[in-house]
Amino acid sequence: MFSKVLFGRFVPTNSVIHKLDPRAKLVLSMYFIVIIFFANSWQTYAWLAAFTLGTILLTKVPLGFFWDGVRPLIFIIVLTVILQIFFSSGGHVYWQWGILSITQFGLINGAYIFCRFVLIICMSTVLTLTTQPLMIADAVESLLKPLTKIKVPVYELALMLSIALRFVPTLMDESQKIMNAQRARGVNFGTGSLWKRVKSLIPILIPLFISAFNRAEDLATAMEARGYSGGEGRTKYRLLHWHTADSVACFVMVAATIILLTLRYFT
Amino acid sequence: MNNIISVQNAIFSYPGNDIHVLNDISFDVSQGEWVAIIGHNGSGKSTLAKAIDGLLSLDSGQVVVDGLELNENTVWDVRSKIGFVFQNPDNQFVGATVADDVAFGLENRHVDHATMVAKVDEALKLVRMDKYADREPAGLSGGQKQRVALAGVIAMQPKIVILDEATSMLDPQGRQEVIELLHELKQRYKFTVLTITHDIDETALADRLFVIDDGSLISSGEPEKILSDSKMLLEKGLDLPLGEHIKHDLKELKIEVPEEYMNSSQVVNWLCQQLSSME
Repeated sequence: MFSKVLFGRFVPTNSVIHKLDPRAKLVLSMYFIVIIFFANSWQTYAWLAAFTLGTILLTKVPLGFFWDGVRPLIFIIVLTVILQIFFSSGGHVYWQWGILSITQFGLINGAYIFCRFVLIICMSTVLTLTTQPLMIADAVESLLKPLTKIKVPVYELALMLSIALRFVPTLMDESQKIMNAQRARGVNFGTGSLWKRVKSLIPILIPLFISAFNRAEDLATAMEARGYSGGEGRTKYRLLHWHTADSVACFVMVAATIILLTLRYFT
Repeated sequence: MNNIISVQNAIFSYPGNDIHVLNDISFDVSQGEWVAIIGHNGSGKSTLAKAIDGLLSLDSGQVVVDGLELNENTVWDVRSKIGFVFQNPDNQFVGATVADDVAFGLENRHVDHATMVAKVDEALKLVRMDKYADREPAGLSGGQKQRVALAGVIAMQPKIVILDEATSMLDPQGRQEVIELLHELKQRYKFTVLTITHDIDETALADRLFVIDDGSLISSGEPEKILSDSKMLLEKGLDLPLGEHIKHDLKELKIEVPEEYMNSSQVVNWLCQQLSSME
């Protein structure tokens, strides 16, 4: 469950969106998150929502997966919306108690914030559902490449990221084993006060850390034996290819921005 | 035949520990030979393998690999001649997918993309893992992971392949697969093999067998000769191969048994003969 929240879940439906270059998807989804902040009216939000829905439908991924993306964050969304409603002022006042009030603007802002959250989550879920984590790591490496000029160890960082991703399932298995071993010794996870539950994590974390360090040492030896001597000059097995479809996707995003700005300034 | 590996008076101890893990060890391995090294836990056999690959630096002594004396300047050249498969299938899997892992060594050697793709394909076909090229390691069995590790070694076309207890964490079937594969690949590429193992049965394939105890080479020779010396094997805390185990127990019961080494099927035949002649 933990991994689902962290990395989303790749669903291979082989749609148009899946086939896009991960660099295009990464940049465009970040770009979309930025332009969401330009929306300021129900027309603009409706347009962005329609655009997002269109993208979601193009992925051919069942809608339930997107709900899975929103669900873990629902508490934060609701909390932010409530704070927004109670603490912002302006317009007609419907209810007031001390510093708390429900006003017209408060309600509108609350609704906007809610839309913003849902759109951001849906768009980033599109990214994680259609792109393997490894591909995202490749895209990050490729996009950060210019930074090698100012001595940022981009290749090393990218390799670290890819190794980290590769070891997530291994370490998850391991923590499951350790938990079972500790349960067999009578440790009780998941009951008692919060403090008690946090304390019960210690007998998982210590063995997990020790084993992770052992693995790291073995891995370093294996890498050295296979001739790894730093990222400089290494060739790459997996190459990214920019296709026409990626340029089209960028063009579509520009068009969407123009429509958004038109709606914002001319309605 | 020329010596491809030559170790002279190797001495090594871990920092902060006076015990010599390698205690003045010397031996030669000829080109194309299959040498198995056995010894109980902590006998220094893994340390020896790492020292040959320059993964540890000796306190004193000399290692020469394919005419190159191992030192700081030659260590990368020496490593490029040696393919190493380690014990834990998980902890040597660097790539995020099977194909990526096979490519890792090639990427380190700056092989260009087209050659790399061809070599990865070929190596994966040889170990019969080509159908799994895009799989992540999490979904593979231990035996499959070790086959991928072998593919990574084969892709580099090394002159020497060292297996450091590469089958000890596998189930019997996976172990069998890896050993058979190694045998097949050795016949094809004629590389020199050094296997470090716990598994006595695995050593029967070797041309020569070394027994290591407390960092010293105490016995070397043909596997048949050494494996039939049950007294020495037991003294050094090693298991007997199944056939020898049966013979040893029969001997204790004062039953006369042949002296020479027999593998399990030979023992079965011999027992059948004995039983039918008793009738």
